[in-house]
This record gives sequence, C-alpha cells and structure tokens, in this order.
Amino acid sequence: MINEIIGNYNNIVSVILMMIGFYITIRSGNLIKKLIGLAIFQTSVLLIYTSAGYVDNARFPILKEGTEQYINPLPHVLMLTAIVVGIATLAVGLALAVRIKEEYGTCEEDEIIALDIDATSVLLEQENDRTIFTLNVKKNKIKNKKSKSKEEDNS
Amino acid sequence: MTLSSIAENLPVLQVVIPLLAAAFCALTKSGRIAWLISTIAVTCSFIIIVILYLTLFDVNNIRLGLGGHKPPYGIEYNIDSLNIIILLLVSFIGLLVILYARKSIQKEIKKSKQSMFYSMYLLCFAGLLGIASTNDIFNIYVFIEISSLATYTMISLGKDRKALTAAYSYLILGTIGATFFLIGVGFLYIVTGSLNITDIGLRLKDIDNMRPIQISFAFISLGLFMKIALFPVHIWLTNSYAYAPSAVSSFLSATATKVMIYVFIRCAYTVFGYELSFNDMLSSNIIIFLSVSGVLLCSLTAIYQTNVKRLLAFSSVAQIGYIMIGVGIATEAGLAVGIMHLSNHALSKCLLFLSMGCIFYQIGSARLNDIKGISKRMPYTSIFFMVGAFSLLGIPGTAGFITKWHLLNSLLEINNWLLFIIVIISSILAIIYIWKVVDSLFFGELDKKHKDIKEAPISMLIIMFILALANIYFGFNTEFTADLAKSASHDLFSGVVN
Repeated sequence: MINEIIGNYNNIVSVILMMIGFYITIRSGNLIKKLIGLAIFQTSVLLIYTSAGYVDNARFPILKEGTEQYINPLPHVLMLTAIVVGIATLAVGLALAVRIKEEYGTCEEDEIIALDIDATSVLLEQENDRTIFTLNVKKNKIKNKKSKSKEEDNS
Repeated sequence: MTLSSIAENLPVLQVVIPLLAAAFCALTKSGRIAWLISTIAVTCSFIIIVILYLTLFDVNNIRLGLGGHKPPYGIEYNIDSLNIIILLLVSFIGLLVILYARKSIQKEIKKSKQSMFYSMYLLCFAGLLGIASTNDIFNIYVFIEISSLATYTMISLGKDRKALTAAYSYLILGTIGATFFLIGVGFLYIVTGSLNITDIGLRLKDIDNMRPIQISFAFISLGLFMKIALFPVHIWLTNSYAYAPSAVSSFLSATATKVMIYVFIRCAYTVFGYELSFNDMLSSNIIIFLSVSGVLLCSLTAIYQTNVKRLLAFSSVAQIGYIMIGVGIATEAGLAVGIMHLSNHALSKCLLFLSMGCIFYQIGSARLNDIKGISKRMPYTSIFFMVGAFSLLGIPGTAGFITKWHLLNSLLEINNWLLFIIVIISSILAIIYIWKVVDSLFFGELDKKHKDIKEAPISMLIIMFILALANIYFGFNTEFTADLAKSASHDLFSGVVN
C-alpha cells in the first residue's frame, strides 16, 4: 500500500492539482479566479503525460554512443502543443473577462446575473409577458438580499 | 510541384488552404478583401472535398502520411465513408454561410473588426475539417482547440452584451471538455503507446478489459458530451447561439456539435470497439437516458422562449438528443439514423437560423413580439422559414421526414415501444414551439414601426433558396443522405473502416 503510494506519487500529485483546479473553476464566482483554476486544471494534465514518458536509469533523448536506453520524448513534444493551447485559451478568456468588465462594470458572476435579470424583466414588463411573474420573484429575492446585506452593514 | 503531387496531398490541402488564408485575412484591413479571400479558400476546400468524394467510389479509403512518415509513427489523414459525410456537410454549409455573411456581417460587426471576423471564421472552418479528416487522436485534440478558440471569439462579437458572458461560459465548459478528452487520450497512449486511431484500435483488440482503458473511455466520452451539448451539459449552447451574430449561429448550429458527434462515433467504434463501448461500459443506457431527458425537457423549455434564436437553440439540443438516441441504441440501423440525422438536421436548422438572421438583419430583433406579421413585408424569408420548420418537424416531402421515418423504424426493429412513444410525444412538442413562431410570423398584426421594412437583400435570399431546395431535394432523393449513412454504418459494424 505505502509502496504503491510512494511509487505513484507523481500521479497522485497531478490528480490533487487537477481536483484543486476543477474545484476553483466550478466553485469560484469571480471570472478571473475561474480562469486561474482552469489554468491549474490544464497544467495538471501535463504532469500525467510527462511522467508517462519517464524511464528508470535512462538518458535524455540525445543520441550518444554507448547509451542503452533513452527517455521517451514523444509525450514532452505533445505537451509543448498542449502548453501553447493552454496559453491561448487563457489569453482569450482574460480578453473576454476584460470586455465583460467594460460592459457590466464587474467581474463577479452573481452580480452579472442580477444585472441581466434586471435588464430582461424591464424588457418583459413592456411586453406583458407571462414569465414576468417568476422573474420578478427572483428579482425581488435579490433585492431583498441586497437590502438585508445593507442593513447588516449599517448595523 | 507537379499535378500528381497535388492530387496526392488533397486530403490535407482542404485543411491547409483555409488555415493559410486565415493568416492573410488577419493581415488585411478591409473587410471586403478578407471576405473575398475567405470565399475563395472555402470554395477551394469544397471543390477538393467533392473530388475526394468522387474518388471514394473506387477505393475504400484514402490515406496520407504527412511529411513522408509512415502511418503509425507520423500524423495520418484518412478519408473514408464515415467522415466524407461530415466533410461534405461542413464545407457545403461553410460555403453557403460565407456567401450569406457578407451583408449580415457588414451590419452586425464594426468595420475595423470585419477582416478579423473572417480570419476567425476560416480558422474555425479549418479546425472542423481537420477534426473530421485526421486519423491521429492527439491531432483531433489540437484541432478541437483551434476551432473552439475561434468559436469563442466569434460568439463574443454579438451585439448584445450577453454574448460576452455566453462566450465566457462556453470557454470554461469547452476547455474542461477538451481537457477531459486530453486526459483520456493520455491514458490510451500510456496503455497502447500509439496515437494513430487505426493502430490503437488494432492494439486494443488484443488487450483484455483493463481499468485504464475503461477510465480513458469515460474521460473521452464525458469530454465529448460537453462539446456535443448532450442534455445536462448543454447550458453553454443556448446562450451562445442566441446572442452570437446570425451568420455565426447558423454555421455553428449546423456544424460544430455535429463534428463532435462524429468524433464520439469514431472513438466508440474504431478506437474502443463495439464490445467495450456498448457492452462493458453500459454507455448505451446512459446515452439513451440522457438524450431522452434532453429531448423532452429541452422541447418543453423551447415552448416558453420569447426569443426565437434562443428557441431554435433549445430545439437544437432536443434534436441532438434524437441523433444520440440513434447512436445510443447501437444497432446498425440506429447508427445509420444517427449519421443521417446529422446532415438532415444541419440542413434544416441552418435554414431556420439563416431566415431568422434575415429578419434580424431588417428589424434588429428576434423576439416573438417584434416579428409579428413580418410575413406581409418579407414573404420569401417567411416561406423559407416554413420550409425549414417543416423539415425540422418531419413533414413528408422534406429531409426531416426521412430521418423521422428511419428512426421510428429502427426503434420498432428492436421492439422499444417506450422510446417510440417518447419520440412521438417530443415531435408533438416540436409542433407547438414551431407553431408559436409561425403564428406570430404569419398571423400576428404588423407593428406600425415595421411598416417600411423591406424584403431581405437578394444575395441572402438566393442562399436560403438553395438551402430550402436542398431540404426538399433530400426529402425525395435519399441517395446522398440515407444511402451514404447506411454504408458508413455498415462499414463501421463490419470493421471495414479502420
């Protein structure tokens, strides 16, 4: 049991990293923090691949006479591509976060949703739509929460 | 560069031409020149794919090892009876949408960003073609990311600010999905030591059920479900299609999710094999349960939508459910229905989104209350919408009817009455939500502020006319859709396609 854990410590570390990243991505309400989580999540996969290419007592893969075994270089090459992909994703995500901040004035997910609900319920009021009731309930709930938190602040 | 070397490299040229053209588009500043470049590139790809299709009459598959490396070691491109359908579909829709896009993009996107838009469009197009034609599983991951990154950018260009949040949530979910896929590929590589799809398939046949292979299958299918927008993970799709520019939503609705379904079929049948995918992993039950709930719940949700583009997006999720039911029942007839519905649904949904795009182009809104009585001002557009709607519902004489017929037949074949009834119920639900749109289009009272609305520009009408014609043509001539799908399904089951 202990031998297994010590023998697989690289995989265990990468799984822990993966779960940390995944948890941040789905749990955090801040758009930037979500992206940080996503980056950790993607990076953990690099570890799985690179440790798969490792061979005990082998030399790094540059040709030299008298060497019997080389480390498998293919996973590293694949992960170079994955790193580039990860950086590109992060860049696009951050650019989107900047644009969202410009349009909404905030990077918090719940505030953005509240702003959107406000906007739609105004539209729906003009149209006398049937779904207005449910939306208004939500809106009132949010308003109540806001006013409660304000009261707490005041007290 | 002789003619024969060009002919040899055709399977990769169809991807490389739009990729290179994307770079040229990004360099130009004028939207018009960028449009010209991208139209030429997309047309080239389309012609190449038609040539490939014609060559496939004589041979089983066309294989090409890139860079002179022999297949299991280098990246290989492989065109066979399954992915030629996807390639034909993507390039046909891509060509129509790029011709349509000129006018609608001029109006919906700022002038300074137009050339960049075409560049993104080409990247997405090349990525989708690459996913479909490559035979290297890691290469599929790279192309998935290329097309997705371009997609996020295109969605965020929508006029509504909600387009930004939609693109953001698609980015988060899409990246998680693609990373899951990458983890699955990693396990496959650790077990087999190969990345070539055919090679992995052959090597896995000799290995008995191992835990890493099962885990790899779970990761790959979960990741792909996110990209396919199967029911519980479809949330990104509805907002993205609703708020993206209309050319983008019609292109994506017809191609993006369909290509991912192709990847799932490829992985389930060629890589893991029928035994592991459908007998050992019970994925048949899971897929059918998820798609049935998606079909019913999303059809119900679509009824309550007030934005027509959002309504169509929910209907897309429901229709993806039909395709996945076909894939999930895992019989030869069922898989054929799934592949058939890929193309037929793409044709009808693309036509619906394009005609809504025309209405959006003229009145600047796609809400049910705003489009009341528009048919009096835009008669042709409304008729094209009706043709698309008929095809979606499966009225006899349209492409949709063929798949509905085959789907019900294949359900009867395995005596699954529960699914049979569910498909009938969801068809009725579809009639309700389509009727809501048709009702306000044709029978609503025209708003006073829309008195001066004119018919959509002729260039857009021609594109919709071609698609409407295709919808009706494939309702009578089943050679292209049904027969191709049947032969692809037969090849997958008999193991001819490797």
